[in-house]
Formats: sequence, structure tokens, C-alpha cells
Amino acid sequence: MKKSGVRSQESGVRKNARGTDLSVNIAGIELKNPVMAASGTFGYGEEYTPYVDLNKLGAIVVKGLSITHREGNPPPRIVETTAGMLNSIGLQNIGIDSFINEKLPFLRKYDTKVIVNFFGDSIDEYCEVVKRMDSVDGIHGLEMNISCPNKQEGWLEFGTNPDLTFRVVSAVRKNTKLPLIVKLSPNVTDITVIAKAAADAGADALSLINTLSGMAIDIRTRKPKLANIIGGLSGPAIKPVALKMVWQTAKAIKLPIIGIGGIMTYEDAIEFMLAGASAIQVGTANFIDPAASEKIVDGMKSYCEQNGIKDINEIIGCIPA
Amino acid sequence: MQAIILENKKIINSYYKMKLSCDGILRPTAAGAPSPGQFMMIKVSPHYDPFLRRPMSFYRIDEKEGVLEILYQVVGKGTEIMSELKEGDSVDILAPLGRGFSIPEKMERAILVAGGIGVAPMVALAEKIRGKGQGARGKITVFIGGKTKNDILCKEDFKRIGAKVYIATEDGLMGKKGTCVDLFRSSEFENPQSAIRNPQSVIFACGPHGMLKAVADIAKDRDMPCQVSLDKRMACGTGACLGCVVKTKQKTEDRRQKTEVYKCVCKDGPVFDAEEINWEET
Repeated sequence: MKKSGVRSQESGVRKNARGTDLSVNIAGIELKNPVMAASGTFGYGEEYTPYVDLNKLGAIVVKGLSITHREGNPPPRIVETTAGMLNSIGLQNIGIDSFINEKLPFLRKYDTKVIVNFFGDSIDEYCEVVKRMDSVDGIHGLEMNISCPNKQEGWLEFGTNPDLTFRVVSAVRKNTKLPLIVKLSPNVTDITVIAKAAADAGADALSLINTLSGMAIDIRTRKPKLANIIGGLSGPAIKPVALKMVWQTAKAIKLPIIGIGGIMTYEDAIEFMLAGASAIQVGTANFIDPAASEKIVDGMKSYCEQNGIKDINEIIGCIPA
Repeated sequence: MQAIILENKKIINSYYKMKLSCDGILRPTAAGAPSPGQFMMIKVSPHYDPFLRRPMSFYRIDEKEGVLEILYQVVGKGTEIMSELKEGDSVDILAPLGRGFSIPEKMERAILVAGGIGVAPMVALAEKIRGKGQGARGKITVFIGGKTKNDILCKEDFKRIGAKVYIATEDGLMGKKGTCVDLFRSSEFENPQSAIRNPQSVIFACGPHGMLKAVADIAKDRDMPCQVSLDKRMACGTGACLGCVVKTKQKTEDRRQKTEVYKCVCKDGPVFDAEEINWEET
């Protein structure tokens, strides 16, 4: 480990030698750069310390947490697809209390922002989880996964219905003062409708996209390749879809947007920012190269220097409607 | 991290051997040097298809020279690309990963049971056992099984190491007819006086799931310790994606009952105690 465990001396200094300012502000969270590790692809941070200096990342979004631990789906849970992968992990996690007691103390040692991704089976459960995080030191923001079925009311996914989205986000909003990012599902007819519902309900920012629903079949056994039959597609295969949804949403909604979807390189990251993202998340790329997020930070910095960009905020949303 | 290919050659049919110079690129771990049963994640192409890294266990470990060898079978796109790589090419690897075999201090005999390509980590293991001076000459017994004689690999390696080797093929054209499990179970070793049933003997197994389950059953019947190396599809190899899980039985804190939890083959394994695995569910 390099400097891990020690708060960087440069904490607070946001300009590098040549003067490019990579810092962005998302929903009141000051990030030293726009690069976050995406939920579910970075564990609770600890897993990546042999490869990445966590101090160099804008933020870490931890694996999605629920009120109690979840076992997750039976295997096989993942399958490789063309330029991507499908997963049906089933939201396996250690539960919010274990996270606060066992994982958060480690993350507090780093000079990076910690954003907690969370979910529930019902509106009450969503609210319960956020209440547990009230005034917990070291949690800088929340990312709400609304791609979960509503167990109490017909199993419809919260994030595919504007009314349900509004209700669950409003309820959570009443229970937390922390910056609230709502993570949107791409599996909808018009993502801007859901985005508007989340915005109206009091979200501070939006992150998009979550995985695209998909499946794969083994023609030899004539069985689905995932035990759960369907799963979420991620990786470079979904990048053009994600980029378009970020662009569309950025034009329609006046909230900061965090772009996610198949970002493998700094070039991909810059594309998302041009499309209207104020920050980005690196997800599946972490599986291919555990140092991907740090390399993307370095690449963005060089890109700005080479192109005379003094402040990364200059390039956000350059693509006209 | 870029490793340089020192050698990549076909052994027979779809089986290949790759030798990699990994000097200075191995990640520091608590355990130190790479050990038998651990693995590497190899990116066979810098492009996005095939997308994921491929897990490969160590077939031979040369700690001093920083050389790792893997044995692989061409089964799909990824391994096909691997087979076409040439000496001098570089490949991106992450290693060493996972938890390998543990060799108990008091072990008197190692019984290695390998099915097909599952023989790969067994060679590294046998060399380590021999190197530690444990299990005097002849006290490593290996049971290798394969479909045909061309699926029986590493026979010479084990002979060089000085292990006693028994072979079974499903078509019976080499060794006994049957599987390595049949061989292991066979009457010769049912003799209670046989050293094979000595409580100080430890079973190490690697191969297809059904084979491992059968070996685990035999170990349980004979009340012998047994370590199995599992193979699952993986994405990250580092315990982050939770894709490669296996159902295990864990004692609860008060040790009164067992609970079932998913563990990651990549991080908590790939080597597990056979009795820890819920064989019905995985």
C-alpha cells in the first residue's frame, strides 16, 4: 500500500502543478475529481487497496446495503457476454449495521468521499436504512437504488414507475439530511419521466444508468446461463445507451448527473461529461483492471492539460440539445 | 501487470502449457510468495471481446526466478486466443490471488486426486510437499483420471517428483477403466491397514464438481481431512463482484449450530475444506 491509511497531505488542495482543476460539486459533496467507484464493483473499498490509492478517487460508492444482510441469488450469478457481462448477484450484502461497525472505520482513514448505496423491499425499509445513517461520521452522501421490486405492492420495480419513484424518494427525503442521489434504471420507456419524478420528490442528484436487463442461453444444455435466468448487463456494450440517456436527462432535468455505463477509459469518462454528466462512475472496468479508476483520474487530468482546460466544469454538457 | 511469455506450447490435443516471467510484478500478499492452489487472472486480449479475465491456477511455481507456469485446456474463445500467443508476447496478469492448499505439519501422506485439467495445481502442490521434506519418498500418492489416455496429463511430472501414480481412463485405454474416484475408492485402498486410511493422510482434490463431491463423500466416510480446489466463473478475482460464490456451512458464533453462507471462490477459496462446502446446493 502506498499512502493508504494516511490522510494525504494534499487534502484540500485541488489544483495540480499545471493548474487544471478537476474538482466538482455534486449535491453539495465536494469531490477532488469526478471519478467515483461504482456500487457493487468495488466492494467496501478494502478489496481494492492493493491496486488503487483510494485517496486519489473522488468518491467510493459502496456495495448496496439493506436493513439486514442479504444472502443474494444462487449461482451461477455472472456470465460473460460480448463486450460486457450479465450479473444477478441478488443484492448480497452485509447489512447497514455491519457496514457502519466493521467497514466504515477503515474507509474513514482515507481522504475520499464515501457514498452509501442502499435499497429496500418497501418504502418503510428504504426509510429505515437511511435513518440508521443519520449523523454517522464518515458518510458523505447516499445513493438510492430504486431498481428493486416493491414487495408490498405487486412487486413492481420502484424505478420503472414515476408514481412509485416519487413516493419512495419523497419518503426517504423526509428521513435524511444527507445529500441524496437517486440511481436510475434504464429499463424504462422514457428515463426523463422517472428522472423528473425523482427530482420533484427532492433528489439532490441523479446517477445513471443502472444495468440493462438481459439474458443469455447455453445452446448445448438449452438452459439460461444465469440461475436467476435474467440479469443486468454492464460493460462497454451498454456505453452508447448510457451516454444517450445521460445527455437526454441532462437536457431535461436541472440536477447534477453522475454518468455510469461501460466507462473503461478516460476517453469514455470525458464523453459522459461532454454529454452532461458532472461526475462519472467506474463500474465493471474495476473487474477487468482493478486500477482502472485511478488510471481514469490520471487520464482526465492529462486530457485537460493537453486541451487547455483549466476547470473540468467547463466541459460539462457541451453537446447541445 | 505485464508478464512476458517465455514459452507457450501444445502438450497434446487441446491442452497447452504456458510459462510466464512474472519477476517484480507479483502483488505482495500476507502469505508472501505464490503458493499451490492459488491462481492468476489473465487478460488474454487487450480488447473488449473476450471481456473478462480468465482464472488459471499455478501448475508450477519458480519462486527464485519469478516464473509461473499454467496448464490450460482450450475450451472457448479466451483459451483459444491464449493458445495463439507467442514467446515474447506480454499478457496482463493479476497474481497471486486466493487461498491455496494448506499443508499440515504432521501430514504423513498426501493423497492427490485429479480429474482432467484439475491436475494442474496438483503438480505445484506435490513439488511444494516434496520441497518441504514432508511425506518421504513415495508418500505422495496421486490418482489421475481422464476420458482417454490423451486426457492424462503430468504423469511424468509426478514420477519426477517421486510420487506413486495411479491412472484411470473412462475408455480403459490407459490404467484402470473408470474415473479417478473409482480408482481412489477401489478395493486396493479399502484395506483398513492400508496407509491410505492413515489418519495422518490428507486428501487434496481438484477436478469437475461431481468428482469433487464424490471425493468429499469418501473422505467423510473414512474420516480423513480433505481439501478441494473449486472452479467457478469469475469476473474480478478479488472478492468484489460476488459472482463466483459457493454455499458453505459455517459455525455460528456460539458454535452450537451451522449456518449456510455464500463464500467467494476467488477470495475465500479456491481451496476449501471439503466439509465446509454444501455439496447439495452448489
